Amino acid sequence: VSLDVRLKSIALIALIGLFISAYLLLYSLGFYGRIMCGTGHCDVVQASEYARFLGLPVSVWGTAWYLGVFAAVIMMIQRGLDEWDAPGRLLAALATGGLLFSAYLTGIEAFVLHAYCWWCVTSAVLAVLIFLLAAPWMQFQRPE
Amino acid sequence: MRSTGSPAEQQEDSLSKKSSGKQTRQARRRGAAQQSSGGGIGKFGLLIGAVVVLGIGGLLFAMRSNNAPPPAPPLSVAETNVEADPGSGVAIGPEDAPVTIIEFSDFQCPHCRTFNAMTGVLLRQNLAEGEGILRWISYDFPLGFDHSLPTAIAGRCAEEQDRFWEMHDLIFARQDSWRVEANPNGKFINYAADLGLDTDQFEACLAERRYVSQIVSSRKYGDQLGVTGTPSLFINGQPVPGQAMASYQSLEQLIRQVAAQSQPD
Repeated sequence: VSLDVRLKSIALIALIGLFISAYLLLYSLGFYGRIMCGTGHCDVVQASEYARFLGLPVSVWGTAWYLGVFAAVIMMIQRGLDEWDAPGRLLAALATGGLLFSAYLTGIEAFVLHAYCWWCVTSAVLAVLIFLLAAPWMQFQRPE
Repeated sequence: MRSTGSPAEQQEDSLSKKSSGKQTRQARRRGAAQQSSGGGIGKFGLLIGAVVVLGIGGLLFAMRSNNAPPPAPPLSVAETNVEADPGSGVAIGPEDAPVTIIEFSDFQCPHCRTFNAMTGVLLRQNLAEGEGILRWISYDFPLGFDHSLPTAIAGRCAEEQDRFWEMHDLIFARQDSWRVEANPNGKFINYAADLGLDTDQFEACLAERRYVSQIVSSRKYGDQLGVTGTPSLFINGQPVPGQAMASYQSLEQLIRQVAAQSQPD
């Protein structure tokens, strides 16, 4: 897959994730009476103590994270920057951080709460996809 | 040996490599920029635009269609002007069980939640459904918390579909989740869906506040018996002291004693 296709795919995925996070954020702010969840237990997950991280709803961090990824990728697409410029490093850092944080949240759902929020699980899948697509920017040495 | 040249040659070689690396990167940047600014960016821009429109549309649609029914208005005179009714409770266990416990509780009362989790669920499971020596009747005793009435209605609306006890235990178990809501009805509809209830029927029941009269009758029955707080229990008509309600074991012991006493010799 070419770098260009990778970047554009990441941008689209980040945008989808941004709307998922925005939905959860609006829910936590009380804009929705109930959360659409199908067979999951979003209300349990959203009401748990793990729904906040460093004093803010996890959805705030999620929204900021997707925005950051989207901004980094759009900068790379617009400016034609190569993988070792600042946005590339930012993308690599965000993709890795997002993957680890998603793993932590999914672990909490599976082993602590025993309840799944499908929006969160979908977001975790998007984080994995972003990480895989961002792989070329993960190198520790500048390629010559 | 990797390098055989003099230090000067090595430096020149290194500079040349750096220079060539820089050129390569610059070329790559130009290439990427050209690639991005080609026909692809138009299609990509359209795709981004479509996702944005769909996303915003989805959020607005969810806001319009996913709002829970509005919170119940204050009780009307017709609803409050009902008599105390011993038949307004919801029962589990055989009708001819030697022991009957009647319980007055409020779904939003934290002690009721703890009592249900530590004692009520197990007693009903073991002695009412299992051994059949206990009949347990639950009465609503809404204390006046902000969600006392909506939760009681949710319980009754589940009873309409013969799933009161599942909803009863679920509402207690998830007290932390719904009590923070301005309007908890949405959560109750989710619980109804989790329990496999007909959610349209359940939602209509909540909106109509179909069983408020029974809840008020239930509360008045408690008032008549002198109930002032929750959870309050009566065993074969006698108030259960708080001491006996302190643990599963103490209440089970009391039930077995009363059952033994009420067995014909």
